[in-house]
Amino acid sequence: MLPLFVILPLFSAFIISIFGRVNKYFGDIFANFTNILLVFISFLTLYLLNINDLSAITYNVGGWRLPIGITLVVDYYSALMLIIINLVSFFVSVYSISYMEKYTDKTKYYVLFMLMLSGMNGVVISGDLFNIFVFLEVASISSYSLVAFGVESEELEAAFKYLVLGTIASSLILLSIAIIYSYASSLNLAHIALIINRLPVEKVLLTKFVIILLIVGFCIKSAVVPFHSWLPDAHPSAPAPISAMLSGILIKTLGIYTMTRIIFNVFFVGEDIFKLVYWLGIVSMLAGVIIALYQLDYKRLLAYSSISHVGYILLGIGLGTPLGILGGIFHLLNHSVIKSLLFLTSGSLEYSLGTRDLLKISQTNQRLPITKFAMLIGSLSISGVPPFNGFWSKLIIIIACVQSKKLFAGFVAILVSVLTLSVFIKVLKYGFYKKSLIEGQEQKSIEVKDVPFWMKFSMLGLALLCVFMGILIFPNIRDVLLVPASDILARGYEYSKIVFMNK
Amino acid sequence: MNIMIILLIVLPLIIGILIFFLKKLEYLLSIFTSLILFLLSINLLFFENRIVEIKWVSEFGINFVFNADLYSVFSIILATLFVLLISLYSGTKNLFVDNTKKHIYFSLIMINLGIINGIFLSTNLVTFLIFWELAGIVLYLAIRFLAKKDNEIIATKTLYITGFVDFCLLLGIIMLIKISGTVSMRPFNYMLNSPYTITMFIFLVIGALGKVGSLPFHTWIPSAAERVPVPVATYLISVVDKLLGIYLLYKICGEIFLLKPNNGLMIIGLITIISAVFMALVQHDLKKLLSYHAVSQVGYMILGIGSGTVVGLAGGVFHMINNVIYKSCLFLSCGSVESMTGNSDLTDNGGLAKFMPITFITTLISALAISGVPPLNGFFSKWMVYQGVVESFSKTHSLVPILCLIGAMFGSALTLASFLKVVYSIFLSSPLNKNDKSEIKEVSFNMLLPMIFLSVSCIILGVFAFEIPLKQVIYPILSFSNIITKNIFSGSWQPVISTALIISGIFLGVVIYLILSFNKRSRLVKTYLYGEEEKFEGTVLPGTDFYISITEKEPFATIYFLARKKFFDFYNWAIGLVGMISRLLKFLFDRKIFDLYYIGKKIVFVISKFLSSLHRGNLHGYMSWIVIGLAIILLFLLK
Repeated sequence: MLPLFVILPLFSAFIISIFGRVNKYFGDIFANFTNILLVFISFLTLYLLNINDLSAITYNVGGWRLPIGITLVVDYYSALMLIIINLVSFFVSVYSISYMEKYTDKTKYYVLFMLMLSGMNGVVISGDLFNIFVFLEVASISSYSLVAFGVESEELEAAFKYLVLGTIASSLILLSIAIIYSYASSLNLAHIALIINRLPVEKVLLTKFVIILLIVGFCIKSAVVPFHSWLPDAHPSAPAPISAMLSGILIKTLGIYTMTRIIFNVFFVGEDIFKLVYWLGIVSMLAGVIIALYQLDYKRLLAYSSISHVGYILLGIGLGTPLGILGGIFHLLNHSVIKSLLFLTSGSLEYSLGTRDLLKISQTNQRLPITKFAMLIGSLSISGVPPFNGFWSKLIIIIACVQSKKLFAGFVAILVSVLTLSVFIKVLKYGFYKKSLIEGQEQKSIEVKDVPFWMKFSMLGLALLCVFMGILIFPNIRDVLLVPASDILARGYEYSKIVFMNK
Repeated sequence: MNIMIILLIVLPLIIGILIFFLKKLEYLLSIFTSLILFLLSINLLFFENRIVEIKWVSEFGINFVFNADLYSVFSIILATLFVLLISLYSGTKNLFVDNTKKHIYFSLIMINLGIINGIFLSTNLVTFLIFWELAGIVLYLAIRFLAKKDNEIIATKTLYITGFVDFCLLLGIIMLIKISGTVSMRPFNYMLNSPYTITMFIFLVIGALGKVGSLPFHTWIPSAAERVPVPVATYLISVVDKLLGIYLLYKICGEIFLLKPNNGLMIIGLITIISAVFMALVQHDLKKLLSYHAVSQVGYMILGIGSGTVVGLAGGVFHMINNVIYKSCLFLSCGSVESMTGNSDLTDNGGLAKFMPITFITTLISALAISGVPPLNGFFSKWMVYQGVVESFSKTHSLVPILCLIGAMFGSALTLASFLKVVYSIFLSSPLNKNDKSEIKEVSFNMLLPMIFLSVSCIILGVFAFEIPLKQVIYPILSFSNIITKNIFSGSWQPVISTALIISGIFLGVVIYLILSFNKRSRLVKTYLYGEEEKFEGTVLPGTDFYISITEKEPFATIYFLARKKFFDFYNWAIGLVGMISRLLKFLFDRKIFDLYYIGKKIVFVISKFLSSLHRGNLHGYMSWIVIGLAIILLFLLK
């Protein structure tokens, strides 16, 4: 069943590219159908894990045994990632039905979208390093083209930058994979973990070098300061659904998921690597939110805020304690939902008002109740206002900071949360005020078209998720979902035992 | 039996809340309830075991322990009796500013009764304090809801002052719990010999004095009394506060600490007597005048208790009981006048004795009682207080008791002078503005009955002072607190005989007058004006001009001027001080100098502008960041 996660979207991309010309609506229907199926399968995977009381499900491609063959592995962490990827991409593809009307070629859009989705699913289910790289490239390349989908000069420039910097990251990752293969003679994650452990002491420095290369590569993919520079250009330029995909799940799947997998489950990493991740997290948090304060372009503001929240996740993971990892994973899930929602609202504003400049938005006398509602929910969630989901994950990260006696980090986390609140108060102020904020400028009372049903549907769906995802942290539910996921990371090497046991 | 003690607290609370929501039947319900409670409390006298204990937070020893000692029982009897009388009195319509608020008044009075019963019954200090605070809140609510204009200002002032003194009381009680190791109230008999006990004493006494309304915590009383309806003023200011405050002061001086002469208390008492009575002399409004006297009379009680002798203590408590009686009678008479003529101003009323004879007589009796004219009750208790002061002098040989004695007698004389003015200008003189007086008649029976009852008690308690109040009430209370009450009097006064002598003297005078008047030989002289200059024109001498000249002579002129400017109102001082501090803090922190938000905003925006300016979209720059970042990380981790 596991290959379906890759096969289904690949197949769908193939079919859409052939039959998309035949009927205008074929792409809409088939892509969304595939997405529903994927959501169903990802929930089914979690259910199977849970019902069989397994730590992981493995699948050997072509029947080749481990460590020779290619193994696909799904544990609780991957299962949660699969659910969030497919759920968000479902809502986004529903949103695209109406939103992508204004672009000329929806069929190509769906083809690229499905390719990107199969790449992300592939990264999450792959059990070996090279396949991770391959799927990462699949997802990255399709995202480069999706960023350039508008083919205006701005989009092309952003996509080019993204392409160059993304390729740097890919080459760093490929380089380190080559070094690892030269020493371990294996690419399977579980197998590498076993071998690297037995390496002689003088090779430790080399391992560290490899890890740093990998971390920097993945940091470029997940836009951590100072490797973030592609993101503030790429996210605003892409069409809103693609921004939602990029900011919501792509940077997390390609960057954070892979990074955590490597540093926790594969390599022997010392305290200093955790410290590196921790400091990268703090710098990202602060820099992202401070720059976001200065932005007046709604999507650009959201993009910087994404950088800041990736920092939150890294901070939680960099603490290295079980609670910190749990908080990091939980914040990852929450932020995927919230940021996708916010980017979708930015798309709605652009759809109705034709601008994403906050000043211009404030001057128009618009009534977009559902969009405004979704903006409100998203802003409150991301600023960490109880009882929305963002509050709970930030709370856990801060508690974890205090528990591991890193009071400075806790202070920064709270400060950034306050600054985030002020950023989104600014958004709400511009978005919600009926009066013109600038003296002497009369408010233009324009007739706007309200957003279509499907866009409202996905915004409302994500907003509901924002409201109700907080229950994941309640004791009984936590024990079934989040705790096993963070357990996999916290248990380190036992990952290889689990994988080998399941062969 | 246990249920009866609990009923005393719970029943009025329930009825009060019921009245608040029912909004009708308030008159009948409260009369009926207070009658039941009165009978219950009388019944309480005949029980031996008067202890109820209800567990609450027993881990900390905080339980509802209700142990009714004799003082409590008599206090409860008095309180319920007065609620009965005042409820009876309040049936008339035009007593209240706003008749739609009448149910609030009855409801608050009932709730207050429950709470003060709780205060009297509690022997656990914590529950005592809780009930005490609740009483303060009810006082606030009563002024807030029922006062005429400026109600929120006066209510806030009251709340601040009572809040401050209750806070002091709280501190005192905490210190007491710490030193005694128990939360129950019982005779500890501490000595005032260490800084700790002295501080504790001061805190506790501030609590008591603030409640009873002595200087300098009195300032809310005149402003509140002027504005609230008469029954509210009667009940809350002249009954409840005196009962509670003197109860606490008695407990402090008689039980918690060893009974000893206390010069500080005596001086406070003296200052209270003199300054309040001077203020009362020049008032134009009857209610305000009465409220200043309410403050002034408190001085005698404090003086008696502060004298630290048994007779002084007994005199203080007795004076409190007397004061409650005659001051309520005066307030109620004032209310009757107000309900008939529509105002309580001394200049606007006049010559009412013809129309309201019974009110005139009750006012006269209670005015004589408050001025300490024998053989009325006020005289007797004042006499006991004086004896206590004299005895205190013989114990300590300090100059303070003598000073206090002289001052208190002087104050008593001024009280009489002040009430001469009241009786003259309201009941005897001709009114200045001749309004139509045809509608003025005697008030209805339900209002007369409490007044008659109270003035008759004034006479009875005075004439039979030894037999009824002292032997039946005061001595048992004192002996209950382990204070020996034998041979406490140093002088002798036989009220019954002297009453007989006084009556025969008056009778003799009348006879002489009648005999002489047969001759019809008399001469006309100018009216004796007590040495005042003749300022008025025509035949009418307005009562309000009586002591006006004192306000024109130095140094009194300055003092009165300052008092009118509220210079002596320590509340204003405190509020001014708080305002000054807050302005200072505002200047320091609210301006840009120490404003963290402002500074933080500036810093964040500078950083933000700088970082944004780095994102110029230059691909080479971006790539160099990555390289530099990678280099730095490698440098630090691979050294």
